[in-house]
Amino acid sequence: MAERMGFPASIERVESLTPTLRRFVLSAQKQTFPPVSPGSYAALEFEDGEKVYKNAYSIVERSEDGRDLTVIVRLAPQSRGGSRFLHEKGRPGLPVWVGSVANLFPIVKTARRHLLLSAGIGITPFLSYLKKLRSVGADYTLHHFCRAEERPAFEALLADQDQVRVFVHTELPSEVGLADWLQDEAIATHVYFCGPEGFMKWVEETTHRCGFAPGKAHSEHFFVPEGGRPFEVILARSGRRVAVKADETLLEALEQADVDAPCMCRGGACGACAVTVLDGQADHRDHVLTEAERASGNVILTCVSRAKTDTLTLDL
Amino acid sequence: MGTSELPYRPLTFDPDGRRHLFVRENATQAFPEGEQPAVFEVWTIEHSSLIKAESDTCDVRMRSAADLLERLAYRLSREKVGLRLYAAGRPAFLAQVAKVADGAGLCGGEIFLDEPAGFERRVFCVHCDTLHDGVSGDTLVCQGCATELSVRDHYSRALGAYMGAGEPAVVIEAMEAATHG
Repeated sequence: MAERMGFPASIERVESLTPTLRRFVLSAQKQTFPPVSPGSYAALEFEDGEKVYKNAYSIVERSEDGRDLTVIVRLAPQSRGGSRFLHEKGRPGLPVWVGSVANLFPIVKTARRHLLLSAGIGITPFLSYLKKLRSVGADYTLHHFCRAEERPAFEALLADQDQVRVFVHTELPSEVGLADWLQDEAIATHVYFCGPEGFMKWVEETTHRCGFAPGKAHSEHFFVPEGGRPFEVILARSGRRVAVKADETLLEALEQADVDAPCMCRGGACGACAVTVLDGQADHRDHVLTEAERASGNVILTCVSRAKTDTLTLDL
Repeated sequence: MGTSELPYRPLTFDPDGRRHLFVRENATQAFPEGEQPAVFEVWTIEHSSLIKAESDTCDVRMRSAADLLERLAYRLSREKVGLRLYAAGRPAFLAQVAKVADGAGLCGGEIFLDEPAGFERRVFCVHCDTLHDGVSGDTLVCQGCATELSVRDHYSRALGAYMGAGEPAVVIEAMEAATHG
């Protein structure tokens, strides 16, 4: 059997930030974790004895000696169980497999100014950004948006930061005048944003309206794959049929059936899990495929997307 | 054969831009195609000392390329997000506009370069750093070190020039000549 890629680790410390946010420090059990650039995520795997959970989280910090990784996990209401399990059972000592570390949301090193916009748990990639940007003397500003009751928690998270560069808002972006601020940015500014879908859509539309070129607007959609209508996949190479239940993803169903399906970020952001569709219609939920690729109808990202038809035939 | 040329293509107004600036080396160069925005500025080089600066108009005449490039650098350093820059002219002019824009932090979707007028290129001697403007052939004699240079397809965006390198035998001859005088 091929050697399993990744790093065995366990939970070292747990800290409750708010009723829905918890910080977990993971400690490497053998070798140290690889160097981590700001904006990276880690694909974590953990189990409760019955079910194996695989979720990707932004890395907030890697300790200097490489022994520890810190992530913050939000209790997701439509969770398929991973975040709920970590919140309820994620205690020190729990084994966690760190499957892969990658960066789909890096800092643009050539940018003259960095404008960071986050909402809710979307702040996590920026916690590592802030440390780096401050250490190199970069020009940056963070505007963070959250609910009023969460304000103290986020202010505490940002307490060590340069206070003239970080702002926490409890009003909506449209109410504080973010559109005007965006419009007033210098031409050399790069904007980065991360948060829930409604926030992402607003920032995408507003930056576009202000004339930010696509190369100047960078985003990371963290998103919890949601369930949906059950369907069945037919694996063309073997003729096998795999049922995808309402509360599991296509990728999870394939893994459950011991199918060797590719994957990396597990959140519709990297494109590594793309598989050829031979028959049936995909319900695309990713942020990777172009309109043309969607229209072609012959590719699907298994980690988040589902089927509009009762069956989907894949080249697997 | 691969080259690292600047991305040239016929100019079209970008509807996603909020302000538009078209710089051209010559008044004969046509405006970008597509729906013309209500407001856009045109900077044209007149190659004349009789030109006076009038900054409050949308149709600005410049004395020379050097004048235009200097004012462009100043303008871009104060520019806000949303500007689209279009440039038309000879390859050396486009190269210099791209260099100024890169220096000001513009990216691919913010600067558009027309198909260049003419084939003259700017060539950088890799042996002595001398820059040559208006090179039309594939070979030249370097004005700095007299090496016979062949122009490579390697374009440097930072220098705004193609690399000119001497063939090894030629370099050896030149070095020997320099040593033994």
